[in-house]
Order: sequence, then C-alpha cells, then structure tokens
Amino acid sequence: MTVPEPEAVLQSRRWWRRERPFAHFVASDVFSPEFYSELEGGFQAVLARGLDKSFLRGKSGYDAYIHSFSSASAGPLSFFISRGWHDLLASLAGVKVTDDVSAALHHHGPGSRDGTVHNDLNPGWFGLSARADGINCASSAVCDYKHGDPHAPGVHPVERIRAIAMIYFLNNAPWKKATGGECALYWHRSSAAAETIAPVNNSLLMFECTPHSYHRFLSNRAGTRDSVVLWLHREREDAVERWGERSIVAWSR
Amino acid sequence: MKRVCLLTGASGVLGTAFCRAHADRYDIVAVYRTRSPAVDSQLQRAVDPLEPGHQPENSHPVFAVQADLTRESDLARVVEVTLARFDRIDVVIHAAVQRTFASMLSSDALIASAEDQFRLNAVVPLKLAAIVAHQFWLRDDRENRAWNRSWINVSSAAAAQVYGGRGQSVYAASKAAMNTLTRHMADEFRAIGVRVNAIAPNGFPGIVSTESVLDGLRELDDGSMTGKVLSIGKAGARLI
Repeated sequence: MTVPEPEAVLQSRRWWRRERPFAHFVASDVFSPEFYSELEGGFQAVLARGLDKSFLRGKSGYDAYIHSFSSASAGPLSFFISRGWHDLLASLAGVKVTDDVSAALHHHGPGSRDGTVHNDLNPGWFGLSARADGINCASSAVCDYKHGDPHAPGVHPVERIRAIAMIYFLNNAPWKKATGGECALYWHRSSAAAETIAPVNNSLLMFECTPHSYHRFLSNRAGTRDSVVLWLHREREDAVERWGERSIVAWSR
Repeated sequence: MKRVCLLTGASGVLGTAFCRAHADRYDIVAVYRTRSPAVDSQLQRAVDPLEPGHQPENSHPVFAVQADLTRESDLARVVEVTLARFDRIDVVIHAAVQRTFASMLSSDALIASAEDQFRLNAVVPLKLAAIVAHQFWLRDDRENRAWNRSWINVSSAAAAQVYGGRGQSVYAASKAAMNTLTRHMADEFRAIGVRVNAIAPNGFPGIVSTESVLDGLRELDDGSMTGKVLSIGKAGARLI
C-alpha cells in the first residue's frame, strides 16, 4: 500500500491555533471519511490481535495499553510516520525538528486512571532505523527510547528532545461529557484545567513541547478511549539553548 | 467605519454565525461564558495546515471576552473592556440564553432552573443596558441618533405561543418578560436616541434557518424601528 500525501486525505483545511493556556492546535474532521475508515480499520485490526499480544501496559501514572510503531509498520496507520505528515506538523508548528519520530497506538480500557500533569519536554533516544522516506522511528529493537541503552550490537544511540506532541482520536463511541477521556491543558502543574480537549473521532490536538505545555489524560469514565500519539523531536542542543539544561525532564529509571 | 457590537452569547449557534457573517462589518466584542466562540479572535485563529501562512479570514478577528453575566462585576467589566478597546458601543445584541426544558409536574429541574432562566433572559439585559447607558449612551443623545445606535434582545417564538409538551413554560415566560422589557426599554431609551428591539425566531437551525435570523438582526440594526419584536417564522419575518 502506498502511503498517501496529506493533501490527498485531509478533509478540514481549517485548523485552529489557540493561545491559552499555551499555544496548541486543534482540528476536527481532520481526514476524509474514506481515509478515516481506513485508519479506524487499521486500529481495530491491531486490537483484534489481543491486548496481551500487541500492546504493552503503560507505567508510572499512565495506564494505557500501548502499541508502538516501527519503521517497518505498514498499512493506513503508517501515514502518521510518513514524511508528508511529519513535515506538515513541523511546518504548522514552526519548529525545526529532526527526522526522528516516536509514535504509538494508545488504548485506554474503561475507567483508566487520570494521568499526571506533565509537559512532555523529555528526551528520546534513537538508533538508525529509518524508513525509505528518511523518517527514523524509535525502535525498542535498536535501543531504549527513554534512556538510550543499546539493544543491538554496534548501535550508537543519539539523544533527542521531544519537540511536537500530537494526539489523534479514532475508534471511539460518540463522545458525551460523562464519557470523559479528555486531554486537559493547564497553566501550570498545580492549576485547575484551563481547557479540555474531548476525544472526538477524527479530531486532533497538537502542540510544541515546552517547559509550559502542561497537560494530562483525564479518566475515561465510560467506554474505551483510542488514539494515535506521536512525538517529533529536536536536537538536544536546540532545547538546551532555548530553555536551559534544567528544563529538560529526564525519565526516572 | 465599522460599527462596534457588544455581543453576548457569542459561542452559541447564533452568536458564532453572527461573528462569522459580520466580523467584516462590525468590530465585535464577543462575550462568552465557558467556551470561546469558534471564530478568529485574539485567543485563536484559523490556520490552513497545508498553507500555514495564508488564511484571509483572519483579517477580521473578534475580541473575545470571558464573563459570567450573572455576576454584576462581570457586567461592568465587559462594558469597560469594550469602551477601552473601541471607545464606543453602537449596538448590543443580547444573545446569551439560559434554557431548561422540563415538565412542571414530573421534574425538579424546571423549578431549580427558574430563577436562573429569568435572570439571564430578562434581568441581565436590564442590568447590562443600564450600565451601557450610564457609561456611554447618556453622554450624547444626538450622537446616538447619528450613529443609529440600538439594542437587540434575542427572544423566541415561544414567548408568544404555547408549544405544548416541550417543557418550555419557564423559558417561554422569561422570553415574554424579555419582550415586555424590550418595549419598556424602547420607551425610556427613546429620550437618549437609542432604539431597542427584539427578534423572536422559531427554532433554528431547523424550523427557520440561522441565516434568516441573521438577516433579521441586520434589519433591526439597520432600520429605524424601535419598541418592536421581529418574529421570524416559517412564513417569513414580520414586526409585531
């Protein structure tokens, strides 16, 4: 299957850049109905293989089931790790990024716990695992994403910093307030939620990862909550120059 | 020169449609309570993901102001903010609405909501109008007439007719109060050169189109009538 270019599958050309509580983008009816159906079918195919076989359980305050993409990922969902999508997100956010991408399917079972408030300004480690279009996917077969421990001989992982976060919602029941599962945005770590983004199918949230991009998952009180989550990355030096060494949030072991 | 419009209920169906249709004609202060209206403003702007630098509609952003109009301090603040930003107020459209449809006999919700419905639908326009008048319109009645300044309350067809079985009793009563308030406001505001009218559409979008309600708002703001209620129904628009 050939991965389509964004202009071939985008439905809405009217996305919104919002400034509060920090700069972020939201869009609804992102893709054409036909392509959305393909994406949803792709998600359902992975789910059908079984949570215990295709997904890993998140840790430390985020209990989603996670199925990571790799450079070998194919099918309609591989659109999210394509060159076209990567370049569109980077251009829209106006951020100079590397070709390194970490992407995954996230599945929350009913009643998943609230996440912790965080800003995503974390490191991500990459070996060389590039697709034909040059996009280099994080791969646990190559190295540990959080700490850079090599998982194969001859690998020399490089450290990047998360630059852009994107979450795209799909395969969910029609959303109502009682359903929950929103992504909440915050002014700071201990403030009340300033904005909530509902997990409405075929909609997305995207933002630059900065020291102030505080957000978290809110419990899905009813039903499951499915999404595609990805991060683009920047050079570590770029992040250090802009916000300082101490702003980068290291992963705990 | 664009007219300055203070619009309440800006994130509702009518408020959002008004901002989209008329932001090129009015400088709009778009007052919302919880969610900012889905239009270009200082809080958000539309972007084309394929051409991020190009979006012509951003040339007429509204000025969005969050406020709880049931709080007196917020009422004063929205007027102060509007005057601070634009120096004048040419038209106020009160489109904010509190609406609870429930049975009198088989639900507690109606009783619990009754005062809130009357407050936002009938008392808030009274209080807001008094503040606008005292802070600006009382300065010069001739200037008000020259600018054809006006106030428009967004009422409902339910104010004049019982649509049985829909639980609209308190809502309809509050809109009837709004219509009566409109006529008394018109009587008093005539002396300061400000026209006061209401628009009473049937259900939109559905029974009537949102565009027909927008046309009615234009008719009331552009015209010379005062003390009137413009009914918008299947058969068209008529002043009553």
